[in-house]
Amino acid sequence: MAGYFTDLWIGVTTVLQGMWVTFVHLFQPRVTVQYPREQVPMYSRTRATLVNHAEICGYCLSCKRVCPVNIFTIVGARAETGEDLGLLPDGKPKKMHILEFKIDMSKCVYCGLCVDACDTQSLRWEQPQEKPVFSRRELLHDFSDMTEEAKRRVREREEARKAAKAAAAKAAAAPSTPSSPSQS
Amino acid sequence: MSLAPLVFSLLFVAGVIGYIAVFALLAIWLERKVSAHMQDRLGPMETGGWHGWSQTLADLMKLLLKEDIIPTAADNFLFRVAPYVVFVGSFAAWAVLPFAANLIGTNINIGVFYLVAVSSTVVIGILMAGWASNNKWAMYGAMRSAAQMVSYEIPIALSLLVPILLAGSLSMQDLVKIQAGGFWHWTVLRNFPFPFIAFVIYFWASLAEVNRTPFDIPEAESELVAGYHVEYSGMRFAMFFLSEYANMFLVSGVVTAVFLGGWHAPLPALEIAAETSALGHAITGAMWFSIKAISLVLLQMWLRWTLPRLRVDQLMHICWKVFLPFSFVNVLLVSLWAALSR
Repeated sequence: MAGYFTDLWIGVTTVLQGMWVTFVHLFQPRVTVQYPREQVPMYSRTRATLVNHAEICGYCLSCKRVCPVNIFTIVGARAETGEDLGLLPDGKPKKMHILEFKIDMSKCVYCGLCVDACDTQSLRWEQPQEKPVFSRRELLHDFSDMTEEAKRRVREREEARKAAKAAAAKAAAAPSTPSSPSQS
Repeated sequence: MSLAPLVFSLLFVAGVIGYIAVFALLAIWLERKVSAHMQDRLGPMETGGWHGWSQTLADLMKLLLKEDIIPTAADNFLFRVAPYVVFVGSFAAWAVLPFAANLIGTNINIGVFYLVAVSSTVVIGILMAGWASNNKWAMYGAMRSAAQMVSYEIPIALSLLVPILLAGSLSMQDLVKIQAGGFWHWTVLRNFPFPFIAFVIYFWASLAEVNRTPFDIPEAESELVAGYHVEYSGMRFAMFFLSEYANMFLVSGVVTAVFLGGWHAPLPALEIAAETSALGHAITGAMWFSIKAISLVLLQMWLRWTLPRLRVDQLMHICWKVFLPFSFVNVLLVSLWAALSR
């Protein structure tokens, strides 16, 4: 019988205590950060985005092979025998132009396997420079280090080489007609 | 045959529907903001600009545009009718809410009796919804809700007997009129402490009537998904939601009218009598009534975000072993007091 009344008393007092707690919290500052209008400050040692330094990229495609989500789109072109593209960190000459090196950050899962796999350590984690964006297209980053003019020249050269190869293959498949000297 | 009473009734009905709609929009937004700030966060902030005031409108648009899904094996007729039965149960009881001395749907002399009777028909709608959904969880929710609502009718009726005894009448306007003259005349402070106990019991029992936390087992989001309205989507669900908020205001309105002075101002100086100006009285009376009722709605929200849900056996224990004995003894003691002071 006494338990009945003490339970009732405890019930009443605890409800009032709870109401006091929620009342106090009603006037406390909120913890929400209204991103992107407000931002939590980023420290200088934040490493939250992928950057590829194309001048030391060896076009080994390890990053593309190891990525579990396939976010890399890499297009390269072989350098000509006379062209000098500089040296890779291990001393060997760089042999490939990097026409396109697109990373789709909207799909990246931040596993870091690509950075671990990179031979020359051209692909690294770095501090993000850009502000938040409103379209997914803006999360597609291209790390090719060639000018538009240079890319156009290399692409035209590649196309000419392919056309010449196709013409040579056709000529070789039809031996009756005399083959004309191929223009390379 | 004069048309004036008919026209007045139709205008009143349109006014009440408008009031319910606006109140529901406001209350749902307020609930989200209050719950957010109590949990140290913000709530709606974007829709409509200032603190997301049109969030509820946006949600309403979304619900209207949703596909109307009726389960294949559901009882088609009952499924369609259930939300409207629930709505009518709460809406019809608004006819006796005294917004002002000259602003009441109908001043019948059995106002309180009508109120309690009509709001019990909500139970039928809930059972229909649970049964017609052809879903055992909806059925559980509906059965629990029916048990809860029917059991809590008894403390409600007994607590309402206290002001009825003090006023000597069942009419809502009479119950308000005896509270004239300032807040010290309000029923909750008269003949202390018995009407105060009746006020507390009625308030808690009414939380159970409207399925609010801590008595919200029928719609326990984490246990029964949504209880009896789990199979409802789009506009039908919006109807249930609207009925819940209409019911919330209804019970707060009844507490205000019967215990907290109804349309009287807290101080006599602030009041405009009906004789002085009919329109002035109507406006200020309705304003005082709404302020008090909405404060009680805020109190209901405060309790919702403070207390955990009760188990169904704890709920039944509180009803039958705490509220019922207390309200019963309360009625006996008030009758004794009234008889002795005659």
